[in-house]
Amino acid sequence: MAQNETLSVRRIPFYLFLILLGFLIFYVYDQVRKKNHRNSDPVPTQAAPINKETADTYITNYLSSQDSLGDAYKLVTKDGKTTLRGFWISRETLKGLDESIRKIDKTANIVGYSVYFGKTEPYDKNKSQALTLVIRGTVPGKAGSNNAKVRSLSGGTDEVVEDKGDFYDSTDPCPERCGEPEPQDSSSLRQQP
Amino acid sequence: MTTRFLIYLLILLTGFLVGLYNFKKLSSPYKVLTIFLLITFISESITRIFIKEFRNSCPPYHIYQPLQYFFITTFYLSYLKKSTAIISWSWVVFALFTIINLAFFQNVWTVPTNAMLPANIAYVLCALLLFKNILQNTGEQPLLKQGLFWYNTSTLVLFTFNFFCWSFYNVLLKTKNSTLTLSDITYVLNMQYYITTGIAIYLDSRHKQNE
Repeated sequence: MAQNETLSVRRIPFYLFLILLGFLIFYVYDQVRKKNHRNSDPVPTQAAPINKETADTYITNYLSSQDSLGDAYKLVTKDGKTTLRGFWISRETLKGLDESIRKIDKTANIVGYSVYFGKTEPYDKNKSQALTLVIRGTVPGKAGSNNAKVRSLSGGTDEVVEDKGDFYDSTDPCPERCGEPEPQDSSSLRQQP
Repeated sequence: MTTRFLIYLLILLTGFLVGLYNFKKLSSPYKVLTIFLLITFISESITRIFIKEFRNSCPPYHIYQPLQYFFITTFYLSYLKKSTAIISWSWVVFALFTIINLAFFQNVWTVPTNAMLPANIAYVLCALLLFKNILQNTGEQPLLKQGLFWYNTSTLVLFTFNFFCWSFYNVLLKTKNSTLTLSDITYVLNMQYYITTGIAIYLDSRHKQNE
């Protein structure tokens, strides 16, 4: 009888422990699953692949519109003369942006990158439209929290995405760093007076 | 995976294989330790998957903590017969505490230091009580040749250090102070603990064989 009592003293807590352990495993699994689901849930975007012809048309349209502008309004590279075609962003930059966010939150769901136009010098010192980029990684916005309406650099608000981590600037304008040659149509168009 | 971690896993696996090879010869507390080594090996391996997938190894530790508590205290239960009821019910209390800590204080992505601290105190108390028993009942075998003595010493050293280490760990992380030195010392002490556990298992199997 005494032995049975000793056994029950050991068994009841053991079974209770197993039940609690089962609950704990389920709870941890559920939390990890939710996080995993959030990580694989991209923020909706209208961005979609386009073919080369469309891309060339867009670039040509932009370059011809630049050509139609007066020198004071043209977007140019640092030399102040060459029409700015775009920027090249290195993979290291994107990795650096990711890492800066991971330093704050190891499990952050990095959904994209915000790219803003910037100017290194004040307009009264340099009147040419030589622009640079300011880039920052983004994570989903926290609707309902204190950060629900996060002020972006442009002064607007956004509940969908939120900038996080370090700021990077682009020091590689095109030209000179261009991966894609200028469309044929645009160059012929630009050679015309 | 770093070379250091690979060595750590090899130590765990070797200790488990020594126990598994001599499983029938082992006394029941050392069978518990053998299973504990397997659980630790699996848990530590899973943390690498979590680091790869989530860049965070904390979730498995929330499950491992109550398991570790259960296995280590079950080992001591065999030697501390007077504390059977207290140790048995402490499993339930500790599991409940772990769940409460997880739900309200330290989420799955945080190191469960709140759960580690009382567990470390319990291990140190068990080790001290067992030392008291060993000193009161010294057998024919020299103390230094007893696997139990070495395992107990190792437990006392590791978990005393761990108690102070985990007390400051999250605070140091928050204040952006380096926790690398603390991690390094814990790492080495953990390796030493599991090596000693493997040796204790081996010595027990030899002891039983000689009997």
